[in-house]
Amino acid sequence: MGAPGRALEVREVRKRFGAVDVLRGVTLSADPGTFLTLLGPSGCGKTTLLRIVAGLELADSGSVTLGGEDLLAKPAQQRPVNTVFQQYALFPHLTVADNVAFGLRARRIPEADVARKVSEALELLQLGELAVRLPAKLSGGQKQRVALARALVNEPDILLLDEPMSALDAKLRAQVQLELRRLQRRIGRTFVLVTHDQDEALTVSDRILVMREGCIEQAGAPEDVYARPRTRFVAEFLGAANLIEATRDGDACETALGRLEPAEKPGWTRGCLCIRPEKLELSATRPEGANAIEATLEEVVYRGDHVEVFLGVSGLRARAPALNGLARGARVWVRLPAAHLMALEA
Amino acid sequence: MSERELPGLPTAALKNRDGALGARVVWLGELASRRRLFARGGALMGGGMGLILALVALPMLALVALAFATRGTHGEIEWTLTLNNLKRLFGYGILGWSPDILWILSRSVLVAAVTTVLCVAFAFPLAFFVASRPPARRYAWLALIVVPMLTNVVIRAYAWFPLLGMHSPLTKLAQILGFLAADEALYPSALAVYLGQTAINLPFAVLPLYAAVERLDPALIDAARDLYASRWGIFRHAILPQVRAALAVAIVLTFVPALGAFVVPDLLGGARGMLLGNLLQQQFFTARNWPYGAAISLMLVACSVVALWYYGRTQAREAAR
Repeated sequence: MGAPGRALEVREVRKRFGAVDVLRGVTLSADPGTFLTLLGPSGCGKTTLLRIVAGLELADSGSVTLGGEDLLAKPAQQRPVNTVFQQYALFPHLTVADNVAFGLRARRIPEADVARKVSEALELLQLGELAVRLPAKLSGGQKQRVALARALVNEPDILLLDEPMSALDAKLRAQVQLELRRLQRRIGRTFVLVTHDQDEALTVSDRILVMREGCIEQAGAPEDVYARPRTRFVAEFLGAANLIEATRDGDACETALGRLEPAEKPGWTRGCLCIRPEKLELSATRPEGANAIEATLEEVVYRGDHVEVFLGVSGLRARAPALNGLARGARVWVRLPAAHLMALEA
Repeated sequence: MSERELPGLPTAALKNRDGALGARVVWLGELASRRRLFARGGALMGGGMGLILALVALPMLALVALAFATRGTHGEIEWTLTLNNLKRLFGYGILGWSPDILWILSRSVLVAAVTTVLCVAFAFPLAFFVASRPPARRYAWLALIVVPMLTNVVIRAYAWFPLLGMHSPLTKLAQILGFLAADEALYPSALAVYLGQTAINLPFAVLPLYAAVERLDPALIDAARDLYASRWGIFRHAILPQVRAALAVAIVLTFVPALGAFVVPDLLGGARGMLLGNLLQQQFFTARNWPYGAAISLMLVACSVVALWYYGRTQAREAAR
């Protein structure tokens, strides 16, 4: 393993199921060795896109190429792409080792090479001791590692992962996300992950593509997409967001909170401003500069490492360090720093 | 089930809008003790157990006893205990050892096995065909497959006569192609028996297979395709493991009746290909040798038990996963 892969290019892919437009012209590209995540709510078309790349679903139009080679013309069996399925889809009658060897044997690789590659793959995913077990005798996390080994042993240019964490409990999930990230860095292959879990997307990805109703709404590095959501949908789907309805008046905006001045002028006359809860600054006295309002602490929720503060105006939420003496009912000043106050596209 | 008040608990509080939950809670409350559960369960099962005892177990015992009785001069049953009937099953007759009965047995097993293989071979594509129809139309297709079962076996066997007889187009075609001499017909023949047996037993193979195919998890098929499997590989590793139990049911449901069949072999097979079923029928009717007939029946039952044992083993293995 470790051979550099080829770049994946998806262009204008469309797909209809009956009367439903599942994909409405999706274009994306993945450089070799990157971890790409398709993030979106269920029904946004992310799994369909993954299945089209895998060859398990046919596209109505558009193209999918890998280093310039047309993938859509080939059946699933001939694509240098392997998938980790949502419920892992391990063959129940085959042992762990036989499951992992499945793709190699189907391609009639000599048995000596099969044995070597399988043991390497089992080693990579720490499955050595489970080689002769049947899938029914494995835990969820072990099954997932077998599914990963079974796909990776074929040395695919692209590894597709269809919500691979959804069958794991929350605690295990966090650990496995880190392992997956490390694994991808170590073997240097392109991973394309489908998920509806924003934490997962932020944890593992080099690039996140937020999908909505068959389109890609925004693409970028996790920190960019989080810090600069382009639309209301992205702001709400990825992380928590305070959304403030606003009307533009010159350089500033009129809102229910009063006059606010974002750093960047919005391109609309009526729209929405957004600020992340952790960017709100709370103080006991009136801060200097613009964008300051006075509010009552309606609710203070202790979250261990921080407190979540609900302010009595427009449902505004803020985050503050824990145990700073904030109490319910207190009057505080809130500043919305202009640099973090973003105008969202309509 | 009538609704009664639960002491200390207002039934109305447990009711949903149509009152069903309340009634259910009260009813389950009655069964909440182990003694009551067994009392009621025993009473409910008693009738069925009695029927099974009267209609299956007792006649079975009578059959076992009969197999050790002696045939009287005029075909009556004499209760002189003997092992002669069982000896005859293994070929030791009045005239010394002869392999006839063993031939009949092995021919019967062969016919039943071929019938089973043909039924399963036809049933698989049929099951996939029906399961791939839109859900609303599946039952119409299933009905088409099941409806022939409403017709008497004798009539369905006779229906093959014009299709396979001397003047049928199929016979003519076989004669032209050189498979048959000019004075031969497709009936009576072994082929006719296989055709008839397969047609009659096919629904018993389709129904269990259809039930399994309809519930197939497509993810395994996707996985097999993703991992370069050939068509055979997909069937072998993604489909077969999921339908194995149903396949065992289909095999048992076709093999057991096919082994004991006598109508189709009698009507379509002619005199040459006597099977166990025919021999059995002969003993009870023509030869009036009930004790020997009973011994043959026991052998058939033994074969069926072997088939059921195979089925039970498959199920146990499935459960052990």
